[in-house]
Formats: sequence, structure tokens, C-alpha cells
Amino acid sequence: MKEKQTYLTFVLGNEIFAADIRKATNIIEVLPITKVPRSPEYMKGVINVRGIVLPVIDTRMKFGMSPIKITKNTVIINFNIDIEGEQSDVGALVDAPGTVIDISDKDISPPPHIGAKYKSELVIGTFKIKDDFIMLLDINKVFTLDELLEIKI
Amino acid sequence: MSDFLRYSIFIFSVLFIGIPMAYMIFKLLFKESVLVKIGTVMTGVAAFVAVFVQLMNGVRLIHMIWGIPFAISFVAVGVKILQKIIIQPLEKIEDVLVIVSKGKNDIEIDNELLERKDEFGKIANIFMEMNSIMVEIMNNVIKVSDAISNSGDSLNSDSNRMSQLTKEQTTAVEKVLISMKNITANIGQNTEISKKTLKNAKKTAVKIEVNDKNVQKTVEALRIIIKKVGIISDIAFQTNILSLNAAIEASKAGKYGKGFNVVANEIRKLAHKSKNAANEIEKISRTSIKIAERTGRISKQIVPDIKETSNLTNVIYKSSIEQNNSAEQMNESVRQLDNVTQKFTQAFQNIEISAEELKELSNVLSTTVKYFREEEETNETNEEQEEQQNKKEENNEINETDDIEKDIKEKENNEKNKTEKIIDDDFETF
Repeated sequence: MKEKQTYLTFVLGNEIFAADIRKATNIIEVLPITKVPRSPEYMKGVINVRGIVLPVIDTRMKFGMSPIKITKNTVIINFNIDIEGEQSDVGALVDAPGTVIDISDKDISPPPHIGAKYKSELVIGTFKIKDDFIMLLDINKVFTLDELLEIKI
Repeated sequence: MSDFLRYSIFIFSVLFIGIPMAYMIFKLLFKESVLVKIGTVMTGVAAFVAVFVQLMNGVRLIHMIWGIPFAISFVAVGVKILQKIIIQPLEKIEDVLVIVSKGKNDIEIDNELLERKDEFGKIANIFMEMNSIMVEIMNNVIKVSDAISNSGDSLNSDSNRMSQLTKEQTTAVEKVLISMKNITANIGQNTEISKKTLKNAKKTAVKIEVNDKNVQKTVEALRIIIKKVGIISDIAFQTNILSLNAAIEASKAGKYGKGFNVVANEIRKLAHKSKNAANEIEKISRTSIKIAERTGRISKQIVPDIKETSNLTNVIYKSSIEQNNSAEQMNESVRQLDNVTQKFTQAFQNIEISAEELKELSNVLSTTVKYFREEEETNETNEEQEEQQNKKEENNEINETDDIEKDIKEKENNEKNKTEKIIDDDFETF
């Protein structure tokens, strides 16, 4: 069966990424972030979303970019991820929200091996819509792996 | 014989002693007067009568009858001598007076009379002198009247020319008057125009200030629009997030969430459209602000220009008012000039009339004075001019009478001369 899968896109710097929409809980605007001491650099702190304490990750730093600058377009996408069989919510700070697209499996190209910036297990595939080149991410791995960048020789 | 000798001596003594003595006595008494001669002659006559009476003493009374013609002849001789002495010069003077009264001045009196030192000689000399003075006076009068006539002529022609020039001046002045009227009208128009321009410039300045305020208001309004558009933009952003969340929720609902997903997609599209529209509005508003601000700057630059224009126009207005005053004064001056010129014209006409009168008067004077010369002139022109035949005839008659008179006088003169010669001879014989 050729089925269409729905993806939620978001923007980091000049690149567009996409994640399985079912992994997202919701999108919220940036709220005041409470810093947590002795946490990794990409860990911005925690926010309180309707009584639930949600850790906030600087996704840009996770992808080796410069630290995020909060603008009016900045949003937090609340992902529900699997950490060793346990469900847990993570707030991902992204530069701007994208859109929702339905992509057939046949339209997905495998991730390029040569010249790839990121580790191969992170990127499920790539998809081209108009001039934009969208990378489909395995969101679980994004937040579970400590190091996302491919180490180059 | 002794008697004859005695009478002879007696006569001799009367002639050569008595008469000279009497002459000397009278000379002493009357000096140069004609009375000397008269006295001497009378003494001579008396002496001869006395000698005759003395002669008669020895003769009978009957012979006395013969003595009367003798006495008469003595007296006649004396009277004849007196005629030569008194009447002759008087007649000469009369002749001259007649000539002068006819208007002739080229008179001559014989030297004999002029050299006489008695009253007649003096009168003749004085008359000659008087005549020469009269001739001189008349010549002068003629010259003066000719000069006056010439002056009258030249005055006339001059005043004619002046009159002509004055007429030209009048036309010129009239032209100037017309030009001045045009200039005054133009200046008046200029004044009116500059007044209007001043008003307009002031109005424009006010309007530009209002315009500037409006531009500021527009800028303000655009800023408010940008703010509001920002709100719209925010709403669009939030709507987008909402639609994304809706899509997330719809995906959780699986098959049942499909319709909901469509709605969420539509909402997202609307949010995008709103966002784009808001962005466009913002962009346009910012451009509009820039344009409005530039317009404001330009109108701010215009304001001082307009004010300067207003000031300059004010200067023009004041100048044109002054010009108007000057032009009116000039107009008045030209009008006065016109009056003066017209008075000049009148004056020159009066001068012309006066010059004519002067010429006539000088002509009258000339003809009056020339009376003294006309005789000769008419005589010369007699033969040439037939029209003056009557005058000619009259003149001829006069001439004829003159000739007759002259003849008579000549005859008389000859007779006188003869008698004088006779008398002289008598004297000499005595």
C-alpha cells in the first residue's frame, strides 16, 4: 500500500526539516524560560505549560549551529519522544514553524551519503518540494543521541 | 571952376573919407552885422543927398525941381544896394527852403553867402549845418527803419519757425502724454497683479503649512497602520500556529481527523494570505511614510521659498506703488509742459502779429522818411512806370513851375548882378 505520511516542517537557519506529525504534541509560542543549573549547553531551561514542566532544547545548537536568537517567529514544538521505552515530552526551540505536508513514500529519496552533514541514522530521507530541499528527521534520535554531527576525517 | 573943385573935393571927401569913416564907425558899433552895410549905404545916400543940397544952395529954387529926381535916383541906388545886401541873400535862403520843403536835401548855397559873416551868412551856415544833420538823421532813420523791417521779417520767420517747432513739440508732448497714460495703466496693472500675487503667495504659504501638517498626520496615520498591521501579522502567525496544532490534533484522530485536517489547512492558507497581505501593507505603508516624509521635507523647503517670493512680491508691490506715484507726477509735469507749450504757441502767434505790426510801422516810417528822396527816384522811374502817369504829370508840372521859377530867379539874379555891376562901376567911377 502506498500511503501518504503527514509531516510537520520547521525552519532552522536556512534549512527546512520535517518530522512525523504524530510525534508532535502541539506548537506553542515562546514563554519565559527558567534556566536549570548544571545542564548541557543546548538545554535552555524549562517552561511551565498548563501545569506541566517541559524541558526546552536549543535545536540549532543540537545541529551545530549558533545559539538561537529568540524572535517573534520563534516557536517551541512539543515533541513526544521515546527514551528507552518511556514516553517523554521535549520542547524544541526552532527559528520558525513550517507547515503540514503529506508525502508519499515513493517521493522520499534516501539520504545522501557523500557530503552529508549529519549522521545517517538521523535523516530518514530527503524530499524536494519546489526549490526547497527538506530533510525528514527521526525525531527520537535527534533528542536521544548526544552528538548529531558526522565526524569527518 | 573954384566951385567945381570945391564940390569935387567935397564929393571925394564924402566918398573916400566919409563913407569909410561911417563904415568903420558902424563896424565898431555893429561889428559883423548886416547893419554895418545898411548903415554905410544909408550914410552914403545921406552924404550924397547932403552934397546935392549943398550944390543946390547956389542954384535957384526952380532948379530944386530937378533935384528931386536926383534925390530919388540917389535913394534908388541906395535901395538897390540894400536889395543886394538884404533881399538877395534872403531870396537865396528862400530858394533853398523851397527845395528842402519839396523833400530834397542835396542843396547848395554859393560860397559868397556862406563866407559872409553877417546874420545872413550865419543863417545860411546854420541852415546848411541843420540840413546836413537832418540828412544824417534821415539816413539814420531809414537805416533804422530798414533794420526794423528786416528784424520784423526775421522775427516773423523766427517766430514762424518757433511756432512750427512748438507745434512739433505739442505733438511730441501729446505722444508722451499717450505713452505716459499707457505706462500708468501698465503700472496700475502691475500693482494689481503684484497685489494678487502677494495674496496668492500668502495663501500658498498658509496652504503649504496646512499641507505639511496633513503630511505629518498622514505619516502618523501610516505609523498607526503599521502598528495595527503588526497586530494582524501577529494574529496571522498565531492563527498559523493554531492551524498547525489543529493539524497535529487531526493526525491524532486518524481517519476521523481528516475533515478537521482540511479545515486546519484552509485556516493555515488564510493565515498565510493574511500574513502576506499584512507584510505587503507594511511594506507599502513604509514606502508611503518615506514618500510622505519626503513630501513634507520638500514642502518645508518650499515654505521659505514662498515666503521669499512673498517678500519679493511685496517689494515689487511697493515699488510699483512708488512707480505709480512717480508716473502720476510725470503725467502732471507733462500736462504742465503741454500747457506751457500751448502758451508758447499763443505767445509766438502774438509775436507774429507784433512782428507784422512792427514791419508795417517801419514801412510807414520808411515811406515817410523816403519822401525826401522819392522825387529823384520817381523822376528816374517815371519813364518806366506807366501806372504813375498822373503823378508823373503832376511832378512834371511841379518841375515846370519850378523851372519857371528858376528862370525868373535867374533873370532876377542876372539883373541884380547887372545892377550890382553898374553900382560897382558907379562906385569905381566915383
